[in-house]
Amino acid sequence: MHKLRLSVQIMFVAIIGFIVTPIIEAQIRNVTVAVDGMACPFCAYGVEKKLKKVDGVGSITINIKEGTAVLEAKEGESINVSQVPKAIKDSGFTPRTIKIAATGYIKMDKQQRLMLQISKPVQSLLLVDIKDTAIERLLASATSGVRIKIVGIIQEKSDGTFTLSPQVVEEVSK
Amino acid sequence: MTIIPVHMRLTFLKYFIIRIIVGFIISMTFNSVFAHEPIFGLGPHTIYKGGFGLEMGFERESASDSNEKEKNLVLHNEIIYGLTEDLAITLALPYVLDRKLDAEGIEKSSSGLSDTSLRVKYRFWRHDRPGIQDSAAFIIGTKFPTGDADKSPRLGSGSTDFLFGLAAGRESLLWYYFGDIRYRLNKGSSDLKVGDRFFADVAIGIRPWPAEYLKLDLVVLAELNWETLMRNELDGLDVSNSGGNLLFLSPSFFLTYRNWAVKGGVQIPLYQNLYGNQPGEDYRFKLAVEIHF
Repeated sequence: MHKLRLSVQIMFVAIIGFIVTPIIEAQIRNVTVAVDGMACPFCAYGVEKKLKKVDGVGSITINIKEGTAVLEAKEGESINVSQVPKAIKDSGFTPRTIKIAATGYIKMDKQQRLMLQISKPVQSLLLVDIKDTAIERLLASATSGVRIKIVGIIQEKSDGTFTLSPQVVEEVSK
Repeated sequence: MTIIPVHMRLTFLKYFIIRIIVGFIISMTFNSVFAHEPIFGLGPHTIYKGGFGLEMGFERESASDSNEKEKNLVLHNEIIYGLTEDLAITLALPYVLDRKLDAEGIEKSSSGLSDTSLRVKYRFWRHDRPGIQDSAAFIIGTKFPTGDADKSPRLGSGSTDFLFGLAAGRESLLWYYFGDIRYRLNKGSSDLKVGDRFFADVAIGIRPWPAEYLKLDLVVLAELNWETLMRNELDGLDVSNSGGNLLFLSPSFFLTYRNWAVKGGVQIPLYQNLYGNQPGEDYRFKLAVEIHF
């Protein structure tokens, strides 16, 4: 009876874990956008207005001299990085590079490609240009559930999808 | 004593009215000022998509000679909206606070809503680099005869007029450069047609202290503004005391903080060649506040 109860409890935890794990896959907590053409604070107000409407954005820091806008995510949320290029364009400027810092888990799709998947909001970033030094950690995350932190550059493809080129990959404790 | 050409057979009162209208029209530069643009010329800037801007400011003009004095004080109001990041529409609602004309010892004054205008600016070219934006835009505008043309001095031209313009500029962390040409096509009312206007402007500006977001930002500019005024026509005949060419040197500035801007400048005449007997321009002055939402 005790063994049956224990088995049921383990199954219950496994089922819950199976349900919960896909929800907490990865979160983009920080985005740094290099904005071309931004030369004055009054004009940069439009950048602030548009970026504030990006899902998951909590705070924005604009640096005129460096030509960047740094986005920090709201507590417990992930920044929808796919909305960032359009926000910059709608403000009247040109997004040059978009660098993200994300934590979570890597997934492998049906074509065995490594993906950074976020469920809330739904985003899938295909990992490309992976350095040899990073591949082991990424595979470990995809196969063994190792939680990692990725810092990388986002690129928007012509079909509207996004890729992530990892620059730094580190294991992080849960 | 002002000499009126005999062959025109004008009454003195009619000539008086023409001077009022011309003085008024000169002050109607049809200019839409976005914050980071020349104060008296035209720039290529628009506003971000879906953005609203409100501008309220004062324009003061003084012209005089030994026989006449003209002074205008106008409250200039504008609403700006960004249809896209490259297409902006502006509604201008000028209100004449005080228009005075003192000619041959006769003084008249009036106040009220002046002619409103609607302008569209389309930025057709833009080149963005780190800390630098080069751009060019063209402008089309229409001025509607909403000012009371029966008041004395008249508050409106009584005609629907049109503006066409082309502007280009560079905005960078340190330097600003602007240039534009504009042409105002005046259609004329039943008897009076104010001469068309041609404007050409260049401006250079500098930011004396590096810009930081959420801090006060100052840019100072020096503008050169050229105006060519075609002769007016009354009952189909040229008015000899009308038309001419002017060149102004205009120091100006804009001071901004986040979405607020204070801007202003003064036009100082460097050269005036006004045909016939006309009061020369003493100065023109603008001071305005702009806020974006």
